[in-house]
Amino acid sequence: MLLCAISVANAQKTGSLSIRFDHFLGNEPLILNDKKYKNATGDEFNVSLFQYFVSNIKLIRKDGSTYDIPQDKSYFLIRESNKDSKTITLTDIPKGKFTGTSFLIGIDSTRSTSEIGYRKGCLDVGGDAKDMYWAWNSGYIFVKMEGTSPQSTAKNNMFMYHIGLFGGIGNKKTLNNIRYATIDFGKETLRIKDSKNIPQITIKADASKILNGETNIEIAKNPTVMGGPFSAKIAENYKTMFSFVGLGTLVANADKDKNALGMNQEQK
Amino acid sequence: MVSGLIYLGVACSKDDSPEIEPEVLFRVPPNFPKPVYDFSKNPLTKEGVELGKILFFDGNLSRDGTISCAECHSQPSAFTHHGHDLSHGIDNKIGIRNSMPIQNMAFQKEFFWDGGVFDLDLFSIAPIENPVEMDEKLGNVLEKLRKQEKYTTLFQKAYGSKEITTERFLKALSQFMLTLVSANSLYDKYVRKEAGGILSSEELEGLAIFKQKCASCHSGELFTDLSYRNNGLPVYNKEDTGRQRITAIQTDSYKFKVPSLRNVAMTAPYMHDGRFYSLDAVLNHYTDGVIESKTLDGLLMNNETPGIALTKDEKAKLIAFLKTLTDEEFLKNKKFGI
Ligand code: HEC
Ligand code: HEC
Repeated sequence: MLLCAISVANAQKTGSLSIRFDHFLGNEPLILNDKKYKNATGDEFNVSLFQYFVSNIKLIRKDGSTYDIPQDKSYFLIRESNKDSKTITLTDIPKGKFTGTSFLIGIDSTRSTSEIGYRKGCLDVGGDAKDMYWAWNSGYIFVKMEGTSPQSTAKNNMFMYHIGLFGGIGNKKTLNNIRYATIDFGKETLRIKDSKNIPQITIKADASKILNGETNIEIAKNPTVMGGPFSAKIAENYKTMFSFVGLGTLVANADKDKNALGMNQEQK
Repeated sequence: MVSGLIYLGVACSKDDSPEIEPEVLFRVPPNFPKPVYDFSKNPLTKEGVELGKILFFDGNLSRDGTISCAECHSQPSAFTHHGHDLSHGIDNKIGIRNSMPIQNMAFQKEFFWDGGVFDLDLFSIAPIENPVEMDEKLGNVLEKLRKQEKYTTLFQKAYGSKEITTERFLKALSQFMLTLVSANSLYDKYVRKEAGGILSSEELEGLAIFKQKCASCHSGELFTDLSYRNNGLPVYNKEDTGRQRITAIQTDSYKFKVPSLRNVAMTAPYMHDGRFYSLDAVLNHYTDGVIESKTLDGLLMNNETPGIALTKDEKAKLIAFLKTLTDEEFLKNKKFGI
């Protein structure tokens, strides 16, 4: 009841926004397991798992000022294996025009160290985040890709890239693999208005960037990267993973909650 | 921030006494530093502690129902794994580290030999999900508990509703562990000048030697400065680089947490990999076994040869003193068992 009342009161001032993440490997759509790909060093591989956290989303205005999505609504776990997770919906955004967006790839250090009571929904380490969390070195895994490659020297020809580490607490600094993505809408302008048609930003997430970039990863040499200094090289690579595809409107969906896999929603 | 005493809400009184004596769930011993655990986010209640204790002793927290927390943390050994150098878990699998005592947790900021966990409330996921310890998923544990009326009732009592969530589960385990305060050894009675707190002359001399030669690392009333140091153990397992595994900083290689020495006579074997089976062996390490390396602690390089100079007589006195840190009340307190 109360929630209803609030959204009615805000009806004139705010609107919603949808962001869709399309997963690619280079220029080809990402298909799990069945498709073979090649990285820059010529290793052949397939991908069995690709998923990452997006958080601290901001919308950027022409003058550089931003609207920051409130913290508690700004954590999303995007999984290739879960179609619904790839479209997220943000609500109660003030009306206005925006020329770009930015977000954090992973989880910020404040939330990474916050008490267990603030880790709900996709941050629940006993729930949705269960495979995106290191218990022995407390922290979330930001980006995770796994698959197999004949070049891999690890067990069953697997490769595993689990990248996390938020920089440590206080003066006890550890590796900081937090990276940001900034997406410019180019000539297009995002208009948040109070209308039935929810605008949608489509963003390409190119998983090949995990392997190819400043450091081209040879699967034979580094089949498993989790902690350790080398993980920073992969983070440097994947920070360029996201790019702008276009603006459109959300194709009407009967059940809009189904799209959001944010902090306050449990996975169904 | 944290009040010295956390009383149980309901008071109980002895029949013939007009005084009300509330049960104390947690008390900061007068000779201890301030706790670092933030009790305001998880106020102890009698029901919460009780739930935590039942969970601590429940094999359901492991994949096949065989291994409870108490399996590797048993009370008579100050909640360590008696007789095991490396932890021994599910399917008889062996871990890489020696189990640690669970005592005075409220006073520690970081957990594990390498300090990889920075919040007690986040701790219990680690052993549950460790493939060589309990090898279960926290989500599955919660599912198993939700199916048991015993637990829905216990959660209802502790939290006012039957819901079993990650937060409630982890905080209940913390509540129990927080009550495990050991501060009533002979040594404590001596420093607090309490009845019976008399050390023999041998023990007193041991204390003096300890202050001079050991307390720079095993400092204060917790007998640890909670830092990570390399005390010169020869490296047996190259993979286990200790603190470096967490920080990825080269200069942290082979550094491990300075352990508390409370109840140390009861927690054999010793060191992060349980390589020494007696306190004699530990002292022999400090006098004759310290290995020089890039990260060896500076405090162990004061002499011609690395290590700490101790005569045979001094060693005997040190051990006599270390034994005064045994807290029988803690080891035998029925409140901590089921
Ligand atoms: C198979 C044996 C085993 C089981 C089961 C086990 N532990 Fe442990 N525990 C250990 C070992 C070994 C360590 C030290 C590990 C390390 O540093 O890597 C440890 C360390 C700890 C510590 C850290 C203490 C400190 O001073 O840093 C706590 C707290 C703890 N365990 C609680 C628990 C709880 C709660 C459970 C049940 C959910 C549990 N343990 C189950 C073996 C076990
Ligand atoms: C330079 C710091 C330092 C000094 C000085 C030092 N220790 Fe230690 N001590 C440590 C560290 C670090 C460990 C854990 C090492 C490991 O497991 O890798 C340890 C472990 C121990 C243990 C094993 C405890 C357990 O639960 O496994 C005992 C006992 C001990 N020290 C006693 C002493 C005594 C007695 C002295 C003085 C003669 C002393 N230490 C001096 C740093 C120090």
